[in-house]
Amino acid sequence: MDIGSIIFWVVIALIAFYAINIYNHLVRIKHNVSKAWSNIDVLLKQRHDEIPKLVETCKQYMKFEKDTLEKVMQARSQVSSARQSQDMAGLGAAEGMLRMGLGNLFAVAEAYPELKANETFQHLQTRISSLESAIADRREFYNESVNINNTRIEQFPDIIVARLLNFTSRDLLEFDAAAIKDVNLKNLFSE
Amino acid sequence: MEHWIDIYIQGLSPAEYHIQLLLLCFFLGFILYKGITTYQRSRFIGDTPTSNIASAAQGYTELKGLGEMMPGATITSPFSQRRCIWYQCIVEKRQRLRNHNIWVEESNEVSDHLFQIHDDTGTCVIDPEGAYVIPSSKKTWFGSHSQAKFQGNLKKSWLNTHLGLGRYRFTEKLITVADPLYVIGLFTSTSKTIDSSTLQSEVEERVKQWKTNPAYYLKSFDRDHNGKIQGDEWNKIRQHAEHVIREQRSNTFHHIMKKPLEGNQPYVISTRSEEQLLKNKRRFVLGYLVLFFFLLYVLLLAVK
Repeated sequence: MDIGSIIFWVVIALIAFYAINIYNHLVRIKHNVSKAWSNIDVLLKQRHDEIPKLVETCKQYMKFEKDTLEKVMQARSQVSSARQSQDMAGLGAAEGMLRMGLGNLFAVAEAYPELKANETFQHLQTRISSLESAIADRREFYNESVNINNTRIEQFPDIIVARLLNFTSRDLLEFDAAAIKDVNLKNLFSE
Repeated sequence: MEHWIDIYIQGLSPAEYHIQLLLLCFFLGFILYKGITTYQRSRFIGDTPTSNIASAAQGYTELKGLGEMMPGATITSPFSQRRCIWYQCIVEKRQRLRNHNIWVEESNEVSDHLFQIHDDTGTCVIDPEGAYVIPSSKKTWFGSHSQAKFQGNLKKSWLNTHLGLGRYRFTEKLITVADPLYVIGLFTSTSKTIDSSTLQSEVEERVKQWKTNPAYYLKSFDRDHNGKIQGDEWNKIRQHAEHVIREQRSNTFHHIMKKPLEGNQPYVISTRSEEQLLKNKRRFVLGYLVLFFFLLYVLLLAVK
């Protein structure tokens, strides 16, 4: 075997090794995205369990706010179904509605001093608010994981391995702009 | 090139030829290994998303923030006595070996003190043991005796600095407070569990603290407004203190970053940004690849 063919086979071996390495790293990135999603999912489940308790507590005091409470429960079930089907666009929209509904609920609760003084309500309000900020933090992390995944599978040479072995891009989790905006208390009380 | 290698090999005895061939094979393998590990590291760094400290998941994680001292701790560099959060101080002595000057390491002191990284969301303790550290400052100076290690801050002559005059060489590497840090490693969190005996003593301590402010104390707990705390009011105070302590504890998490258990995952503490690190690693990978093919070519010419 001459020098040229030996170098040729060494190059082939290195390319094979490189392709295996790319595959392993793409698998790792894919699992990072799944892990980041699981971290959000667990918080969404926790909040899903807390909302009925909050609504039950509010019902005892807010007899004339049935509509507000129903909106929260509807948004909760939409978040739940989007979460179960891992539909990121649907989840983003439903999450926006739920956040707005909860924002309204807490704003309306200001008009009920007895409810505001209730320890269970205070505890649930704090718990849900802290879960929401944790979800927002983990959404950032999830989106960064998705971004790394989507960039990698479109970059050369990773794109070759990704196309051959069906690595797919994932959807970013984006909340509606309305959900990110602060609740307009003035409009809320003038209704 | 082929001609030079032929001439060089003809000048070697068979034993020398075989030893040098073996060394070349070993070096080739080493370069390949270094190239692969550097590439793997660059992929780990590039492919790991950055977490916020407060919401970071347990496991292999990447953090960005500013370096801080542990509360109440003071770390100073053994050489310059500068305040820092991490240091490495090396003393080397010049020795003659077969008509060549070589530097032999006499001591190498690496800080194992814990320090912290802080971002907008929280603080994480860093255990530097086993980490590959890229410091923010590296200083080298020379001296004629080992005590010159304390003279790092003195103004030195051009000759001393550039020609390395003196039998001793001193190197000081530092990370100072408020340096921007990039850390990738194993992130774990623990929350303090409360055992009943410590809880009781903490409750008593808390009640004592409240007693020092009688206005607040009576207003909050003197339900029958008789100006005294009596009977059931005592139980209420204790219950309230216990509740406050439990609430505070449930929100207190201690995060620590340490060396990953899996050997192939790098543990890096760097004052350079992620982008700079990646650029550097890619250059090294390219360098190793070029060197590998050059050495392979030389090896093949030598065995031909």
